[in-house]
Amino acid sequence: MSDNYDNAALRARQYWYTDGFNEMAFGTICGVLGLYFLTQTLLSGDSLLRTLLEAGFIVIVGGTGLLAGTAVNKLKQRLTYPRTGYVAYRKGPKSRRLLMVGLTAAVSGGLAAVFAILPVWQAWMPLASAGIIGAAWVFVGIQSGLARFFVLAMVSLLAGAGLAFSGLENIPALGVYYLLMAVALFVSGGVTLYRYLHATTGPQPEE
Amino acid sequence: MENEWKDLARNLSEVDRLIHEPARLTIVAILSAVESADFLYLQRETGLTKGNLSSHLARLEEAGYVTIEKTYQGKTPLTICHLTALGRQAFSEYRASMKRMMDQTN
Repeated sequence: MSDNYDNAALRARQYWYTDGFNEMAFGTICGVLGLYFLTQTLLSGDSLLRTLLEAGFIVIVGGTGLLAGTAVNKLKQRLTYPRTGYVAYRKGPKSRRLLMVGLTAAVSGGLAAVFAILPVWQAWMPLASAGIIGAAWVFVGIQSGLARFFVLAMVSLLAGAGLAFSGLENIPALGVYYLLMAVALFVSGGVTLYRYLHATTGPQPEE
Repeated sequence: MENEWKDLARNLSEVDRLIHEPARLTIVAILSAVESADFLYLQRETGLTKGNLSSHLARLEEAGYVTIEKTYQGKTPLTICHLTALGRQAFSEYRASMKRMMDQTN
């Protein structure tokens, strides 16, 4: 009995990732982050542009996230939904959503505090980022049952570990890490989109 | 032993026949896992023909388990199906009945 419901629920969750758009959207955010950190490396400490970039970090990342989310919805409306159908997902309980936001804020804030208080630990920032992002991919992999997210988690951890021991300073290492993740996500999303387009036919008109 | 079989037969007769039909069971299972889904998604997931799916959805709508809304997304017509609170309750009770029967037979 549980097979009908559990299978339907799993397939519905997998359907959100069927076209690869979400991976490419997150890849865009990683790309922007990578360019941000590398630009910081190139600019001098007293540069006005550097100061503006530091001040506008939340706006830059948040704005990219919003644009990427909007782009995903638009692309799904134009390509995915006419091709294989539309699904609206149930929102979880408000308490769970608040918990996720709180947890994200706590982890981010905790890490920022650690790195501010103990500058010597800043060398591990790429590994810490890789660990958090890798854990997120593992979570998505478990929820969706899709193996490629476990591969992305491994790529994240390997990239983070490699950069932590590479001798690069923390900011350029972070920049390289996020650019590597951007490439990995675009490859993963692109392959998924390619396979989706070849496995499905064009828009199906309703009768 | 005979009483166990009588209990099993009684439980089976109490099962919601509307949901028990395999195609409708699949439709209801899919809709219970999401907020709503359109006709095309249901057709692909169930493997039913358009006519067959329409017929089963009409039965479920008649029973008040499903609402069907015809709308547009831009210029594209869309048929959105949504499991009602009654439908969710019926499915939940159906799952509980089947679980009881499975436990009895084990």
